[in-house]
Amino acid sequence: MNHVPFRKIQPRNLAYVLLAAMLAVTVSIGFAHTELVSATPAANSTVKAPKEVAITFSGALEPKFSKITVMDASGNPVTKEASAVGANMKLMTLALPVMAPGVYTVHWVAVSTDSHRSQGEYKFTVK
Amino acid sequence: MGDAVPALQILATILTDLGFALVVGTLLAGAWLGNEAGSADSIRLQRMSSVCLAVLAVCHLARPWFVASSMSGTTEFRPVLNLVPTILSGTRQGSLWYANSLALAALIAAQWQRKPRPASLATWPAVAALGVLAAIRAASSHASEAGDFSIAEISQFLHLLATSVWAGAILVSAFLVAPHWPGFGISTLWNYSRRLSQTVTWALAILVLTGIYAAWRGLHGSVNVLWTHHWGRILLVKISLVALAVLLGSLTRFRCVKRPPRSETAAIMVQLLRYEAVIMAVILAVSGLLANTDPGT
Repeated sequence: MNHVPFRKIQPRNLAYVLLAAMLAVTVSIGFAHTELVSATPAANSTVKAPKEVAITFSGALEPKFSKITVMDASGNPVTKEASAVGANMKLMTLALPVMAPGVYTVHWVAVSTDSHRSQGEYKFTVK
Repeated sequence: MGDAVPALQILATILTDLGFALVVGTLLAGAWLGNEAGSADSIRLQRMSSVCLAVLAVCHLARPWFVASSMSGTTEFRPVLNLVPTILSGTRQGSLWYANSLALAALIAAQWQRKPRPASLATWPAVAALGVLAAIRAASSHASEAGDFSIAEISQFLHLLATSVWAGAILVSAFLVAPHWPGFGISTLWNYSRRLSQTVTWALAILVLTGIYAAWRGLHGSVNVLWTHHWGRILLVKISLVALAVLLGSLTRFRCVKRPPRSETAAIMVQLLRYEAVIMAVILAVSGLLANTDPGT
């Protein structure tokens, strides 16, 4: 075996150690779910019959794979209309028919442009 | 089949990262060896990049299926396959896939044109194609949420390139170049190692700067994620491995490259490079896992 004796630590070695320490705070985010930021009607709110459900998400949506469904208390969809994503890619809306008083469930699926899928549900009441 | 899909998707990410890095590595190695490379060295590098291009092509062809699976939340083969046309025609990932096809075809053509001697004319088209491929990967990542040509996306692009330069150069040097130094002589090995060392240092600097930027943007000040989430723990493993690789790299630089060329020192250098390369391969694997793990909020 051939061994080369170590030299004393040089300032440049220290620079490498510093670099390594700096790397200790590096991250590369490759994955994140799109989340609900705000919604009208808001979750658990009691409102007059709304004309639409509008939800703003944390990221741009993929229109062909994202959707909103609104169901009445017995679980039936209230409309055959499809939800839409407009010029603001973070906003998705669903036009609603005339809504009778009662409790409704909003189910949303948000697919981000980086292809990740998330979903959620909330209720609101029409008075 | 369903349970295997996430694992397959992680595997495809890792293979794409590894393949891309190795193509970058063979290109750099060819340029650094220059005309001193023997035909055996050139053939070795050429073969490696051909294999990598084949792997990249397979992963690329499979990608629309994985995107469709991810977007629809289903893993059954047929229904997902039926969604592929919708993905290709109606989503951002679809448009990027077409752009990626063009860049990959250009890279394969450049490879085809490469003369047996490295660093020939076709090197520059290959460099351009690799740059475009990295830009497309940045544009299909989460960083694109800030918008195209945003600082976040450009930073992610530089991060990808720097990672590939670092990992690719080390892996190729450790297994395909350095152990074969008796073929081209010790002074060439030393010149080569100096270039390797300088390039890797620059790549590392870019890696750190863009990484810190991504951290500042992504963590939203909640450093706790590092300890409390599965994702954070994987990240800590990755950071430790990176620190270890940097340590080995500096050891190689100061114990070998900065000393006079001797065959005993060369033997140590080859060994240190191999250790660093193995760690590098594990880092790429951990990064692939990380990219497919939910960081939580």
